[in-house]
Amino acid sequence: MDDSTFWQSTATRLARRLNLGRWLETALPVWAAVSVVAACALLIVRNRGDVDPAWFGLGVVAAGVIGGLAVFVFGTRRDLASTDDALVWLEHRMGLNNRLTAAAAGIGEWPTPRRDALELLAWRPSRLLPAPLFSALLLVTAGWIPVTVDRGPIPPPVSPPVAWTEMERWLEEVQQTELVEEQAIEAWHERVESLESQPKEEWFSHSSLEASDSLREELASELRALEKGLSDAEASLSKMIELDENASPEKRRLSQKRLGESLEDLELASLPLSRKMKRQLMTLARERNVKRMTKEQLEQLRERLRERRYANLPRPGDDAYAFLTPGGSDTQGSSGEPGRGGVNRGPGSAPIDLTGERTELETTRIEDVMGHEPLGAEFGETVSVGLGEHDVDTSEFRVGGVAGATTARGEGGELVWSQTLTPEERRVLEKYFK
Amino acid sequence: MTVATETEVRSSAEKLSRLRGVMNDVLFGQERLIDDVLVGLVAGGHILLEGLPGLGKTEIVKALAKAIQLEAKRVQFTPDLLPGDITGNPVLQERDGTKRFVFQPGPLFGNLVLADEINRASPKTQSALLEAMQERRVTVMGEAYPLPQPFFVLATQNPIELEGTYPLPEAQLDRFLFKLEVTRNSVDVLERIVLERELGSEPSVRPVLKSDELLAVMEVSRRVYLPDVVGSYIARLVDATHPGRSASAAGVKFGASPRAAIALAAASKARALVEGRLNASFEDVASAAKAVLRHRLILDYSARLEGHTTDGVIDALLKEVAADGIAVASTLVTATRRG
Repeated sequence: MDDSTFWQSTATRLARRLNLGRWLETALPVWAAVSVVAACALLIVRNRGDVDPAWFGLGVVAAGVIGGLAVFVFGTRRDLASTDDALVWLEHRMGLNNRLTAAAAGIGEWPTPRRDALELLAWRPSRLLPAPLFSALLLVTAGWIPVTVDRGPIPPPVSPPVAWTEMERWLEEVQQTELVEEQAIEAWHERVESLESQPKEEWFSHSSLEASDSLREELASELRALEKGLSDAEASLSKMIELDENASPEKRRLSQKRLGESLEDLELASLPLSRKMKRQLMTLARERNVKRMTKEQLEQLRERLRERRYANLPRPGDDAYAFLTPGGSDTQGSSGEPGRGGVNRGPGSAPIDLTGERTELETTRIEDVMGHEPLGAEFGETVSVGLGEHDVDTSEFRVGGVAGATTARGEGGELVWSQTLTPEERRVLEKYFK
Repeated sequence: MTVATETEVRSSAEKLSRLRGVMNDVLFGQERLIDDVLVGLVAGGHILLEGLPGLGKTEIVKALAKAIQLEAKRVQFTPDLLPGDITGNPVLQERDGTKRFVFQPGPLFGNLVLADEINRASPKTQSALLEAMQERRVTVMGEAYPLPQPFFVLATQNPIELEGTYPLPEAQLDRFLFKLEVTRNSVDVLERIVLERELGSEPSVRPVLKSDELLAVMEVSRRVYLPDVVGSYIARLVDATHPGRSASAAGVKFGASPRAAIALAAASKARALVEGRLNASFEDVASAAKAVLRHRLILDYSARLEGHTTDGVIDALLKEVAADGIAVASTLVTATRRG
């Protein structure tokens, strides 16, 4: 390589480096800006959840290339250094008194080649690296930080709330018994349908669920009242059936009066008895001579009244019942110890433990007391008011049948509590009355 | 115009080197001053020397005249000096029975004119010098008399004792190629002067150059190759002296004229020749910039109050205006290797 070629090639390489350096000087901030936009875009598409990493990466690269080209076309291209420019720059930096330019013009000899010529221009990492590092960090951060994926609007529910289906089922069962007035059941159907007529998106809204629960509680309460009324009517009817022909008119009148009161209670309910059943029972309650109906007819009537119990109705002791009752309304949840409070508290109030063992609830809150059966739930609670005698079946008395059975029939109410209460409850009562 | 050949350049450089050697033998410790004077001489320009008395201003002129074998004239400028005293006057003479005015040339009719303390002459006399310096001729009573070639004016002025002086107008200052500042010598140089010089005796100067040779050297100097990039640098540098054209010229009231650019180019080529190079360079421009521009820049009042000098402005300009015209990107780091 002769001197001329050496200096010319060196100048060409320096020109390239000068131009590249100038282009990078302008392009790096542009790339940093592109990376900021790309990072924002990445966060947005990640939030939308429909990002394809390959396409997004290609988009970022394309934006970077376009930005770099724009910088070149509109900025660097106008000031590109030629080989001659680089030659001038080189001779000035090397103190060659413009000998390279003169030699290129044919004036004088080319200077002796110097191998350190290319070392005059080196890259400056402190200016080159920050922008790419910043861009990379920004993009990696945007791709790494957790972003909540926006799944779009919640699709309408496929199935309605459980409370509605439950109510529909209860009403269906009531309808099947044909004991209740059809119009009243239709009215309840309409109330449930008014909830169902809401937009599907609103089905599980707070207000809708609250209204559903409220309606469900109301319907359950009505059904329980109906059940109780029918139970009372059935009891009265059973009493009337058991009266033999020698029974005193006074006893008959009393039975009819009890039946009449039961019917009055049923009449006031929002689920009144069907007209046919009501008419039959009213006839019984008002007729002076019950003998107009045969015993078989009365038995059939009683059997129909016995169909009163609805299998799916929430009952005391059920979770659903506890949820519906006022005392249990603040005890939501399905796990944990009852009455403990807190997030994981169990359902319902702490049950009264009659075994004598203390419940360690560590609370000063006044707890509701609920029994498992309405008749034995709370002391002093009025479960129902009625006139009548204890239903004592004298025919089935036997001695020493099973372990723990009574050896004497007892008198008055003794049999009731001795045969229906649990041993623990009985011990408590015995202790109380001692 | 053909470019000076290597032979011509080498020959001229040798002659100038001999001249430089002789001058350095006469004037101790003023190598830079002598170089600048030689450059000015080769460029064919007039030189204004400014310095305190006794620093060798007159001595350098006298030594130069002897070394080049030029006809040297000296004029001590005083306030009562009249233009005719330097240009010459027509004198009535009777010859062959007829009387007529015969022009009697003044001291300007020499090759090397030393205008000592030029600022002490009246503006009228100073302006008489103007035509001689620019046109290299003298006009007396409507008749022009060409001055001998080569013709150089080396004027001196004293920066102190300004009372009773007439500062040179800008137009006249612009006629001087260089304004050189003569500075005092160091102790070592003083010691040498004390040991080798005696009061009242002038050092002997060996003639090394004839006036014809000097004219030939000057002609070669004009043919020294001035690369376009160097010409561009001179143009950018002179343009940058004007207010608003560069940050360095913020305190400048009036910048340099195109004549300054031409003078800078001529000085650059002359310097290249003095150093034996075939082409002028950025370095030549930078070296001659102060001598060429310092008396051509007029600073404004506030800049002078703030203590700025034209030399300071020129230094800043040389830093601000990139000789190669290439701005290196910040992504690159540069090194300078002189060799």
